[in-house]
Formats: sequence, C-alpha cells, structure tokens
Amino acid sequence: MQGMMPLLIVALLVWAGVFLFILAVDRRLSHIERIVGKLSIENDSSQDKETGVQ
Amino acid sequence: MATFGKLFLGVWIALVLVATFLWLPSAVPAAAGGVFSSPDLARIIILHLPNSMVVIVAAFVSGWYALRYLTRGRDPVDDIRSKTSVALAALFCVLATVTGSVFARVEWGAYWNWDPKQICIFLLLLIYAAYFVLRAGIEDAEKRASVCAVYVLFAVVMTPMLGYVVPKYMATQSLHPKNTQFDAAYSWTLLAAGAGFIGLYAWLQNIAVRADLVRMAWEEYQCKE
Repeated sequence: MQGMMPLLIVALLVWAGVFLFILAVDRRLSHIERIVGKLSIENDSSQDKETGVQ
Repeated sequence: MATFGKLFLGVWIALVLVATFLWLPSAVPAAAGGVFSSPDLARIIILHLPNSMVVIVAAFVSGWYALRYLTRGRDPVDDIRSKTSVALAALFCVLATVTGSVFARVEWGAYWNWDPKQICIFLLLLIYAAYFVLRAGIEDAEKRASVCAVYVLFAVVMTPMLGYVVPKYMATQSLHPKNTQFDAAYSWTLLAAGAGFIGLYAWLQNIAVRADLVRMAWEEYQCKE
C-alpha cells in the first residue's frame, strides 16, 4: 500500500486541479448569464417603449 | 447543480481515488492464476471502466435529445443538448482510450495492441469525429440540426455495439479477459467511480448547454442592436 502513496497524491492533485477549473468556469458562466440576461431584458423593454407595447 | 452537489461530487471522487489506491487489495498475480501481470497497477481499471460507462450514458442522452429534436417541433435547445452530449461522449471516449492504453502498457507490454476492443474504440472515436466534421460542413442551422440528429441516432446504435457487443460476442481472440469476475471491493469501488463520473458528466453537460444558450442569447441581442 505504501508504494501507492505517490500515485494517490498525483491523482488527488490532478483531480483537485480539474475540479477547481470546472468550478471556476461554472462561476464565470453564472456571472456572464446574469449580464446577458440583464442586457436582454433592458433591450426588450426599450424596444417595447419604441413600439408602444405596454 | 447546487453548490452542495458540486462539493459533494468533488469529495466523492477524491474518496474514490483514496479507496482505489489505499483500500483496494492488489489483483491476483498471473503467477497465481490471475490475469494481470502487474497486480498492483491493475487498479487503473477503476479509472478506465467508468469512462466507458459515461460514453454509453452520454451517447444515449444525445440520442434522446436528437429524437426529441426530430419528433417535437425542432427546438434548437434540443439540438444543443444533443451536440454537447456527443462532445462529452467523445471526450470520455478519449479518456477511456488513454487510461486503457496505460493499462495495456502495464499489463500487456505495449500501449496499443490492435486488440478487438481497442480497434472498436478507435472506430467509435472516428464516428464521433465524423459528427463534428458533419456539423462544421452544413451552413444552414436547421438543416444542420436535422442531419446531425439523424447521424446521432446512428452513433447511438454504434456505441454499445462497438463498445460492448462486438468485442464481447464477436471477437474470437482478445487480450481483454472475457467474463471477468471482480471481487466485492473492486465491484463497489467501480460502482462508486461510475456514479462519480456520471455526476461529473451531468455537471459538464449542464455547463456546456448553458454556455451555448448564453452564446445564442448574446447573438440574438447583437442582432436586435
């Protein structure tokens, strides 16, 4: 079992790197979703004002 | 996926790794009647098989959304879901090939042995690569989605055929042992790893679909501007 320790540490480090990367991408995407959602709503309401839709 | 779910997945896969390297006993050596020439490293199988499980799951998910696209009003979101699932199936197919090659080097002496299962997974990779070539080759979005949905249905049939049926029932000679019986520790660790990898696939699928939807919303916004 002792011989497996270095392999386990490498595997855990690789997994930690992959996990944190995916988590960071997920967070960033949530942020972009909020911005794009806000822009779309603003755009829709300004177009409604232009066309006179209540 | 909720934050708790993501953290749980991270811890779950870390625990699977700990169990794989510290808890699992070594496999039975070839000298004692086993099938592995390097029993300690046979545990690579715990990282190899779940990738294949995910390929099958991802293929069926992509097929389901392709079928939905073709039968329920041609919703572009179904096309996106099918496409991202095919991409993830291809990604996990590459991971299965890489981990399988490492296993083959350790146990059979060479990274690539032209074993029936290796040839089948190579063909599967070509089928997935052809999907993206097909996607890139059609300009019209609706036509592209329809043609690709039909192709996905073909790929879905081929995935279990090439991944399981052909190597198991049609290949007469193979380095892969047939009817392998895992002991309880290996079976449970494999199941836990499979569940973790499928969870990882679900998370990646969620991110990829959301990213495509954001891209679509952004393009729509720019058109209106």
